[in-house]
Amino acid sequence: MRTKLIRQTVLEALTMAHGYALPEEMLRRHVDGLMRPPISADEWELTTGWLETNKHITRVASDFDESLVQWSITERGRTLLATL
Amino acid sequence: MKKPRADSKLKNLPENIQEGMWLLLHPADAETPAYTLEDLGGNIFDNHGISVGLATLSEWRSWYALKRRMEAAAERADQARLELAKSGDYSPEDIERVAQTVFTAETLQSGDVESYVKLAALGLKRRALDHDARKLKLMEEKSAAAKAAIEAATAKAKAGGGISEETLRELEEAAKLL
Repeated sequence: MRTKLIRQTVLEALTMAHGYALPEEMLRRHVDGLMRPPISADEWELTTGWLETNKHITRVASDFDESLVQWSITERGRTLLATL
Repeated sequence: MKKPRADSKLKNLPENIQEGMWLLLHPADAETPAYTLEDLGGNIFDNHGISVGLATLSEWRSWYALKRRMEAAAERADQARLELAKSGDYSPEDIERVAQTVFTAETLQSGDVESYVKLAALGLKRRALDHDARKLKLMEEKSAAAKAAIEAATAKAKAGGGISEETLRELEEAAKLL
């Protein structure tokens, strides 16, 4: 149940980005703000890893800062969100 | 049937109502006292008949804060996209990259679009210079290969007492590299 809720929260936040990729730092902060207790580093890695492996989210390189990790939702991700 | 999340009752309210709720928590002017979450809960119940707990209100506030920030960032990014498109100096791919850079910068910190556009444009110029440098290096390599081939063919001609058809062909091939 919690795993599903974390995935849903991540995907919902990415849908609000109007087609742009969202910096991981901000995404994580947002998810932390909504989950009780806040998510652990393991939960975060598992969630983003699962969503990326299953092509629900995709990693986007940044021209602003090469070390920055950014995520964007895919069409598959939008479809998944509709079913959660 | 799927059970809706507690905060979805609030997220599904019309935008103008949510904006009003936000302004009650964050008044636009300093003189107006801000509502607490308890005050807001009472207001929502009185005006919309919806009963929500403090945790739900807090979740809605976090969610709505992100939504507002994203909308502002996307607006700035779209504005930068339009400005660059008007200039006609950038490819659609480059414009997309700059718009994403503006969005990222806006979500991470506040600032003016112009600076971010300049920053991103510098990045594009740097990539163009890198591309030119790689092109120049390739041309230099080709030129060196041609020079070596011509020298080898000339040496062969001198040793053979004249230019054979094979040497001539080698010279022609080398000339194509220049």
